[in-house]
Amino acid sequence: MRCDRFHAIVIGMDPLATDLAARPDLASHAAACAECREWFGRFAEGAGAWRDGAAGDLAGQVMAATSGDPCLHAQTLLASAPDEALTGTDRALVDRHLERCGECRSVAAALAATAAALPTLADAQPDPGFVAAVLARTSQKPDQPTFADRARAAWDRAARRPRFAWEVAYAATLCWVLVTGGPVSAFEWSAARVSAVRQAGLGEALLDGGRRLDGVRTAVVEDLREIPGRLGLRPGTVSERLALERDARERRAGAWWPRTIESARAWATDALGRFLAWWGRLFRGADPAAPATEPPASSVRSRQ
Amino acid sequence: MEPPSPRPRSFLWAGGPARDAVDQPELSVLLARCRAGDELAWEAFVQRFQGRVYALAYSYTGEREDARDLAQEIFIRLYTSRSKWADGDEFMPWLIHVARNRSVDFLRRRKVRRPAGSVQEDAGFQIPDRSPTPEDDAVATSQRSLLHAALRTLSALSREILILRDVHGLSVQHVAGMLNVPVGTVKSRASRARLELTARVRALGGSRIEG
Repeated sequence: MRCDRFHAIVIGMDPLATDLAARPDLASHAAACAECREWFGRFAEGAGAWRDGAAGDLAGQVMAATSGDPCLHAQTLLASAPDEALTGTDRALVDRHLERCGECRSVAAALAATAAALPTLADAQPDPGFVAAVLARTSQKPDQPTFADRARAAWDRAARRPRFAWEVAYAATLCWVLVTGGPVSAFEWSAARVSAVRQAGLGEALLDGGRRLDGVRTAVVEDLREIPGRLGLRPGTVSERLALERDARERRAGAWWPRTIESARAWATDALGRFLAWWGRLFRGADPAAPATEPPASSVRSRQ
Repeated sequence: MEPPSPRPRSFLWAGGPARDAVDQPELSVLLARCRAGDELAWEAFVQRFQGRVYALAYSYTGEREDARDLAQEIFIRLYTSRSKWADGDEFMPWLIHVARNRSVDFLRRRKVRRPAGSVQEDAGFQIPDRSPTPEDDAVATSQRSLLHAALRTLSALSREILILRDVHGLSVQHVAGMLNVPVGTVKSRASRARLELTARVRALGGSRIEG
């Protein structure tokens, strides 16, 4: 065995047990090498002194001279243990520190005691009447009726009165007379207005409106005819284009489309005429001069 | 004349063994009955959770009367929102969440934001009677007073984190969600708060806590 090898093995041994009896290889080298034997003697003497406490708080002195005391780190790890479990390494390092540091041992004990005591704050008894007070404001509180319930109850009470039916009939009759007119001076205008409209001829008014629209349409078409000339195009270009497009639509839709449109237009006109005739007959009684038998529908058609 | 036959000790179980203590129904069963409108179940619910709700209210208000009013408000809120109760393991965190929100609203309305812990050591503030002797009662009361006084010295956020985490046992995730802070913040604040609290307790006479 080489001497450096011997030194490395001895230094790596537990300082608390520097006995070569358990290592025959080391013992044989020490027996053969005087220099290593002397060195080992000094080493064992130093280990003995350390075991006897001659070195004092060597670790503390070294920590103070280097990184500083790790107490805060150890205490932080202890305080965070409830939220984040320490790893095996952290636990071992903290335990090793606690063996040496009395202050941290006190803090650890206080942390544990406080952690055990805090849950006792989670439960506190209020005064004996607390439950009764809560029940009086919750499950034992009578339910308030809703608006619908109150309205239904009021209707039921009113309907049980003996003259309820007479009162309802009286109110309904009054409303009917007020709305529909009749010999009530304040609402004579309703009958007079309807009669005036009938006399003026609603159908004639509609036809007059139609003529005005036709005039507007004609004016617009005339203006459209002038647009090609203003744009420098051949006259009739726009109308020809529109006619071509209309023809194309009709060809695509087939011959039935124009007939369908014409039929719908005729039906609508006939229905409008019949409605105007009925409207006229409804108020025939307010105007004695109104014709009694002339059918308004045919008169509307003839005016068209 | 023959003596009357002895009446059963418990009319509910005629002929069966009398029960000396009332069994607590399963929490899930109790919650379901309360949702269904069972008034007896609601009364049992109030009795079961009055201590916890009151303690939480007290931790925010710091005064018995305010804590009582706030606790009643919390229960009324729970009663009106029976259909929205959480189930199973989520019920307790949900209950604490609701209680905490009501407490914050209560304090806002009262315009009081003082730290909790103005403890008056008198018979009005009762702890649950789990101690076998009066001396133990006194020790427990003194211990709670000390803890409240130490909690009062912490910052608002640190105190709230400790109360939710260490007093009421909520998870870090629940606390973070409730306070709207990151999980890492909860952990670091909780760690620092525990060290601060321990230092305060020791400074105020921690022998009442230790061992």
